[in-house]
Amino acid sequence: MTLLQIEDLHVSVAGKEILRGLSLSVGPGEIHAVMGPNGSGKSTLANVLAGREGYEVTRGKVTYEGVDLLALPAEERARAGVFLAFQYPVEIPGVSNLYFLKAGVNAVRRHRGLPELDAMDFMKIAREKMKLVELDEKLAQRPVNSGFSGGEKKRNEVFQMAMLEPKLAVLDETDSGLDIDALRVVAGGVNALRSPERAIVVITHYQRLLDYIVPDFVHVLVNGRIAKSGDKTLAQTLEDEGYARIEREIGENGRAATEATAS
Amino acid sequence: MTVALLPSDRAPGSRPGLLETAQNAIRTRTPEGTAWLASRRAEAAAWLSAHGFPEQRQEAWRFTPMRDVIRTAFAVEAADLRVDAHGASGVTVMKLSEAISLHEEKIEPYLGRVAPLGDGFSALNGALWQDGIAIFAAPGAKGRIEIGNFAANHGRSSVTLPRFFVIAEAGAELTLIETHSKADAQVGGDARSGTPASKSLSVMVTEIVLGEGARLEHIRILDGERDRFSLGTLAVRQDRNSRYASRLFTFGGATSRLDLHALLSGEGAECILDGLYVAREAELVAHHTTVDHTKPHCSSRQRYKGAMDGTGTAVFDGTVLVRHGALRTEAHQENRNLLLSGDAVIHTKPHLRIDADDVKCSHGATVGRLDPAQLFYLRSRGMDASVARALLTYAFLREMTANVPEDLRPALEDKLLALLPDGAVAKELA
Repeated sequence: MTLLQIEDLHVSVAGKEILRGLSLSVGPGEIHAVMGPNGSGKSTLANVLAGREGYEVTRGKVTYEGVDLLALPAEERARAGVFLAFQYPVEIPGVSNLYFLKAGVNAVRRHRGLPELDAMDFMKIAREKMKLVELDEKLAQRPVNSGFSGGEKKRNEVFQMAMLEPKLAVLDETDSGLDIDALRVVAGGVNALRSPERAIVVITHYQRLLDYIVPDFVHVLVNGRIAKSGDKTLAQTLEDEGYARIEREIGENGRAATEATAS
Repeated sequence: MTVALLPSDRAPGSRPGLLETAQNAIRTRTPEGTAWLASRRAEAAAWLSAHGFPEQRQEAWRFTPMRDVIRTAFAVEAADLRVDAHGASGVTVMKLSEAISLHEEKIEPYLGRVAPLGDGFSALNGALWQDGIAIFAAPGAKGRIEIGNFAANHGRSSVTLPRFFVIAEAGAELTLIETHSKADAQVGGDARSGTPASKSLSVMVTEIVLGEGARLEHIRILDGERDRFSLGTLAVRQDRNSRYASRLFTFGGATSRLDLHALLSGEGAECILDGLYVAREAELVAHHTTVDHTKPHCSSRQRYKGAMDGTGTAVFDGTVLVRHGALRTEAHQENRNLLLSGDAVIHTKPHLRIDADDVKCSHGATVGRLDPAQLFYLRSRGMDASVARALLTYAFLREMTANVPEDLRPALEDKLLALLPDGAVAKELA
């Protein structure tokens, strides 16, 4: 059964249409890469799936586990197993990283009918998961992302993903701002979290990340819709030829499509 | 210029108000035995007659309308004051009325002289105070003193006029914790049919004198109630190298106002004024502070943070005066406000008047709402929106509890959380 079904999604931000008929189907256990040039709608897709305010869905449907995802507030999507690793994780001084994560973990567990974790059990599991992304325990005890470097913030995102055990993880340009070593650690963490019950959507501009997190499917997002889909070799093609070739192809196809309907 | 409402000026048929209460009380009071105190009381009474109570068109009272209170006939009641100075050495604590005769030489130079007669309310206290506490810390004294002021509800509108007086001599180091809250046993006036809701008014004056090198940590906690009006004047006179740190916690109230005057009258004095306030629906919290740098090399810092919800209103009116000759002054002022609703209001007015050279002064005020990116981040990890709001509000305010004695922190944090919707849940996470 499909985990996530996006059908003809149109989304506007501040009156401007960004997603223009995006369709995508993701099954459990699959790794999908969504690649695109700047302005193609990558972050919009990530934010709409997570339920951020300020995004107007003008057409289309998103079904998650058979349920209308767009009808759920952000926290309910999280509890249902949707996780967004932010491109720019925000700092929250005064709110402890571990305490807030424990609240989230227990909210998810409650939703799944599992017993809540007390502080000790939570810390035991947390310490294990921190190792996956080489996150120092001292760092984890600070306020959320407070004083974290870019790499530490991204690792914190993957640590949270490890703790929340989502069914659908959307990684929004997790590789942005990372050097090769940081990238390797973050990717290693994500790979350790692969599972048959978990689908991962990796949103990225560059092919480089996909050398480490090897996708089952690659989709190219241009002008708000998926222009082309393929397997991991498509990523390499993009790397070699850039986005321009595909943008041209769509241009031609776009015209062809109009002619077809007119006749 | 306000014109006092003398009984003959009152329009026929209008109800007696606070001024009439005051003047009756002044007239009928047992004459003061001690001559100098009698003269101070008379000064205050004369001031009140001449100026009356503040009207809203006076700048300093523009945002704290007191018309309803002024029109109410209050009964003067005794204040329920309790004090605990166990474990303090070199400190003498007694009723202020007793201190007048027992420690005349220490009190007479200062009582009624440290706190200015600037408005009808402090004049009211000056003329009529009965209950009070005097604290004398000898040179080198050390310790912690706790004062409790409990407001009883007698079922009718009542006013209490407590007065506090503190002298800390050279090198004394004190912590003073002042709590103003409700008494446990309540007689509800509202429950009686036909009685209009009674008001509880507290008009307090505190005068503090810090000798050379003396240090005072002054924590003041006020638990407001919907029917309580609390007006305070707090005046501190600091001698050389003394340090005064005030940590204010004001939780609502129909009107909770504090006029704080700090006079830095010796070189090297340090004045730290921290304030946390919360004003919810129909509540008003006002802080008017004046820090007066009259000598060189003194430093002052004001940091006030508050959150307003519903139609809650807060006022921050901070004045720093740097007089001619107060070289190498450092004075900083900061007011940060969080609006939790569309109807919440903050009036923030920093004011610096600098007449000296070679000074470092700054002031800043911010007014904002919760950061939507932070809210979304918390929600995206499964947290309820209202819990996320409570947590972020708490995180914003909680900084202000860092500088109080550790044993006070849990209760203060609990109070904060109790004021926030879903605060109880946020408590788990804090």
